Amino acid sequence: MGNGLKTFIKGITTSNPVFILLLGLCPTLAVSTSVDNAIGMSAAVMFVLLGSNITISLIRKAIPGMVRIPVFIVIIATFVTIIHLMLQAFVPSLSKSLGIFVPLIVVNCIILGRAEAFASQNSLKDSIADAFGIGLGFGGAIFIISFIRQVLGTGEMEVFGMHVFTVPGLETNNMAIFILPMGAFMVIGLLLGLFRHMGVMESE
Amino acid sequence: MNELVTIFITMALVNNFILSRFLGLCPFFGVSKKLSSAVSMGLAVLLVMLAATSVTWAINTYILEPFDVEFVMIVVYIMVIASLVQIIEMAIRRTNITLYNALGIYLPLITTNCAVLGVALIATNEGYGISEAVVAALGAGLGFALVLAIMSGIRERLDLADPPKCLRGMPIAFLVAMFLGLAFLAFGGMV
Amino acid sequence: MDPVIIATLSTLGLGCGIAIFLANRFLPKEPEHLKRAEEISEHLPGMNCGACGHAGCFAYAQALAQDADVIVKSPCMTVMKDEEAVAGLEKKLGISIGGKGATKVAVVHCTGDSPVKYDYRGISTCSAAAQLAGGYKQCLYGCLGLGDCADVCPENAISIESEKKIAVVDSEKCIGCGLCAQACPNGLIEIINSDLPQYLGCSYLSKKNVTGGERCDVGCIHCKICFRNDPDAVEWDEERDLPDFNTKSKEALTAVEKCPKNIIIPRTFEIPSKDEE
Repeated sequence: MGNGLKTFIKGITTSNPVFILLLGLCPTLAVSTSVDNAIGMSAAVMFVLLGSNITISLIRKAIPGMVRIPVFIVIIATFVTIIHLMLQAFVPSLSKSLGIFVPLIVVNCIILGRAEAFASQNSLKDSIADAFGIGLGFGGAIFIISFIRQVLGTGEMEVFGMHVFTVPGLETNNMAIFILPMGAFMVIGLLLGLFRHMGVMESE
Repeated sequence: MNELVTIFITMALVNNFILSRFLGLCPFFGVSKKLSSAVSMGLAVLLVMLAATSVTWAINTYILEPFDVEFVMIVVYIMVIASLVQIIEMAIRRTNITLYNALGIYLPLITTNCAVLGVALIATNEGYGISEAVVAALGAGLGFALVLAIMSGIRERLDLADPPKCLRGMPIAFLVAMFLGLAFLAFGGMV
Repeated sequence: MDPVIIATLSTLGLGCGIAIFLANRFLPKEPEHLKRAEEISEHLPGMNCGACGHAGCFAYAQALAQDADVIVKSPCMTVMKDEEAVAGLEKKLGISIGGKGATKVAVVHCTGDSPVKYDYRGISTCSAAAQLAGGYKQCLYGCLGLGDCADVCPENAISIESEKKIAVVDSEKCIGCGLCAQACPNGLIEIINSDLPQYLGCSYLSKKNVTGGERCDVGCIHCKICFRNDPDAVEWDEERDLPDFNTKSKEALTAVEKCPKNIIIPRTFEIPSKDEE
C-alpha cells in the first residue's frame, strides 16, 4: 500500500494538476466563479478520472499501441456522457451553471494525460490511488480559486444555498473584477507567483 | 446577413474564446512564446474548427436528431474531430510540404483542444443552421488566432523585461492575459 | 440495450474508420524523403536551435534526406559531439562524416574587470546597454555581462561571472553552434576550432591617441612581447594591433608565460604558474 499512498499524496502536492503541471486550466478558470460550481465540477472530474483510470488500467494489456489515444478518448467520452446525463437529471441547476464545461471534460488535458502517462502503464491499485490523488488535487486547487473569487467578488460566502459568512465591508462594495473572467487570470497568476515565492514550486 | 455579422463579432471579439470563455488555454500558454509559431497554431486551429463544425453540424442534423440519440453527442463529436484531424494532417503532409513544416506539428495537439470541441458544442446548443455554424467557427478561429498573436508579441517583449523572480514565466503570462481580457471587454459595446 | 444507439455509434465509428482508410488510399503518396527525414531526425538532438542554418531539426533532416552532403557543409554541432548519433547517421546516410576534428568551440575575448562608467538601470540586455555610450563599463570593447549570449545558448554552456560581470564559456558543454557570437553586440565571441592551443582574453583595439585609463587592468597593452618571443606561433595583426594565434595555430608557451598582463589563455596545455594573480 506504500506505493499507492505515495502516488495519492503526489497527486495532491508535487504533481498537482493545476498549480504544478498546469493542465486542465480551461475548466478551472471558467467554473471557479462560485464554490458550488467548483465542488460540482471537481466531483464530475473525479468520477470521470476514476472511471477512466480503472477501465484503462484493466484493459491496458489489450490495447494495440497505434490506436491507444482514440481508445482512451472514447472510454473517457463514455464516462463523460454518463456523468453529464446524471447531472442533467439530478442537479439540473448545477448542470446549467456548469454549461458546456461538463462535456468538455472529455478533452480535459488532465484526464487524457493521466490515462496516457499513468493508467496505461501501472497496476489497478496504483491507478485508483492516482485518480483519487489527482482528483483531490484538482478539487483543492479549484476550491481555493473559487473561494477567493467568490469572497472577494460578492462579499459573502454561500454554499449550496447555505449562507456561511459575510465579509463586512465587501458586501456592498464588492470587487466585481473577480467574478469577471479576467479576475480568474489574476487570481491564478498571483497564486502561482505566491507559491513560487514560498518555495513550494520552483521558479523558471 | 445582420445575424451572421453579429454571430461573427460575438464569437471573435465580445465572447472571445480564450479571454471570455476560457477555451483553448493550453496552447495559449504553451505555444505563445514566438510570434511565428503562434500564428501557425492559430491558423491550424481555424482550419480544424471550420472542418469540425461543418461535419458535426451535418451529423447532428441528419443522424443524431432524426434518430433521437442526441445524448451520444459527446462521444460522436470527439470521434469525428479526432478522425478529421488525422485526415487533415495526412492531407497536408502529403500534398504541401511547406504548409506541413509551418503548421503540421501543431495539428495533433488540436485534437484535445477545448476550443474545437467547444465551438462544435456551442453551435449545436444554440441551434445554428449551417451558415451560422460556419460563420461561428470562422469568428471563433479568427478571434483565437488574433489573441494568440497579440499574446505572443507581448511575451516576446516580456522576455527582455525584468519581472520579480517569483512571477517569471507563467504567472506574468496570466496577468498579461488579464489585462488583455480587460481590454477586450470594450468590445461588449459593439453588440 | 437500445439497438438504435448501438447502430448509430457503430455506423459512425465505422464511418470514421473508413474515411481515414479512404484518405490514406486516395491521397497522393507521401513524398519519399519525408519518411527518411523522420528516420534521420531520430538521431538529431531535436533542440531546434537553428545553428545549422535550417529552420529546426526536422527541416535539417529533410535537407539531409534529399542531399546527404549537407551534414558536411553545415554540420550540426551537437551531433558531431555525440558519437552514437554520428554512427547512426553515417549508417542511415551511407556516407562517412568527419570525426571530432570538425568540432568548434566558442571563446569570449574578454577576461577583464573594467571599472564602471555609470550606474546602468536600463533593460537588462547587452544589446540595450551597448547602445548607451558604448556600455556602462569604461572599456568600450569589453564584455557587458548582461547575458545575451547565455540566454541564447542551447546547451546552457555560458555563465556570467557575477563579480567581474563577464561571460565565461564552459568548453565541455559548448557545441560551437555560433548563436552566442551572433548575439553579442560587441562581437566578443569567436567560434574557433577546438584544437586551437590558446586565445587572447582581450579585444581592446588600440587607437594611438587613446589614454590607457579607458581599459581595464588586464587589457592588452600592445607591447608585442608575445610576438617577439614566439614568432613561430604568434602573428601580429597590424590592423587591430593585437596578436593573432589562429593563423599559425601552434602552442605558444613562451608567449603565455611572458605576457605582462597574463591574458593569453592556454586551452590545450597547462603552464606551471609562477606568480598568482
